[in-house]
Amino acid sequence: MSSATYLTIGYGLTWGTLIWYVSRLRRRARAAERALRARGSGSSRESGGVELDRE
Amino acid sequence: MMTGAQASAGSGPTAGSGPAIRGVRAGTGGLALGLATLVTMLAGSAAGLFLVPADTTQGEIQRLMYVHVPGAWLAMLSFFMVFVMSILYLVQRRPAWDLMAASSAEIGVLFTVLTLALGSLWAKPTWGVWWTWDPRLTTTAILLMVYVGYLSVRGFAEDPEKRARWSAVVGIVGFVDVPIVYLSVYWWRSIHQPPSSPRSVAPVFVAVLLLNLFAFTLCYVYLMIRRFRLAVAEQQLERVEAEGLRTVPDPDRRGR
Repeated sequence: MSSATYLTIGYGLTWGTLIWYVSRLRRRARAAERALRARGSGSSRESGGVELDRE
Repeated sequence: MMTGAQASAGSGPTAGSGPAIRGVRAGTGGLALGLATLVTMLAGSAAGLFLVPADTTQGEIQRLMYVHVPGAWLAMLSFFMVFVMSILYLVQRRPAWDLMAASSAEIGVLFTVLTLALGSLWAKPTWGVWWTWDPRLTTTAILLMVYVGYLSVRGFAEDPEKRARWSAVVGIVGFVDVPIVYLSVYWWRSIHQPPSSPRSVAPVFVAVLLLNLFAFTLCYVYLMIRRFRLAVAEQQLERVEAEGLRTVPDPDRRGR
């Protein structure tokens, strides 16, 4: 393989990992938010301090 | 970096209560930090790929250093934070420290895997092999196992307090390997080179490496904030579900 291929894989892997991880965090945050809302824990008092951003 | 989180940790009065934070998702500050991270990381990658001249010995492949070294730095920083937060948890017993330690461990594991993968990519054209049992590589692989173990321990214990206590102990003991990883290149002079002195390389190489180290540090702060907020929300959910289960009447006792 050429150096360009190694660099493409290396930098691609770095950026791909970051994008994957951030989108995974976003997905899980949305799921947690939905679940908390569904259980009526969307207020800071009921959720012990976790206030959910209103859409 | 941790100002908001530390304030939150201070506001968590009892075991099991979540620290006060503004939201599960990033607010305006979070978006600004995310944007700053993105711009700095893009600048760092562009500088590493296009601005710095090719290395006289290794050629173009040396450009992998601008992601490999900052990736390793981020992993070590993550595990250092796990160590500090684990001590703080055992001293103060505030759940926020435990959640921060767990968040940092997850990020550390992710970046250790990335560092090993990038190192492997760099090793093939320079050493001729994808992997060798060099002390630096071996101790890093052990480090990865330790913190995968840390995350597994968290999955075993259902009681949040027990989980926090056990993982804090693993977080403190496991950190012993971090200085070993760093010093391995000096103790056992093997195939992995020790860090070059900034005085022995051209300033442009040092500047671009520092830019990337800064970008990855910023990235750690951003990921930590997002991961910690998620951990708080998930812990909240876990507690709400547990309370819900307790309030559901036992069907066997109904009507007796």
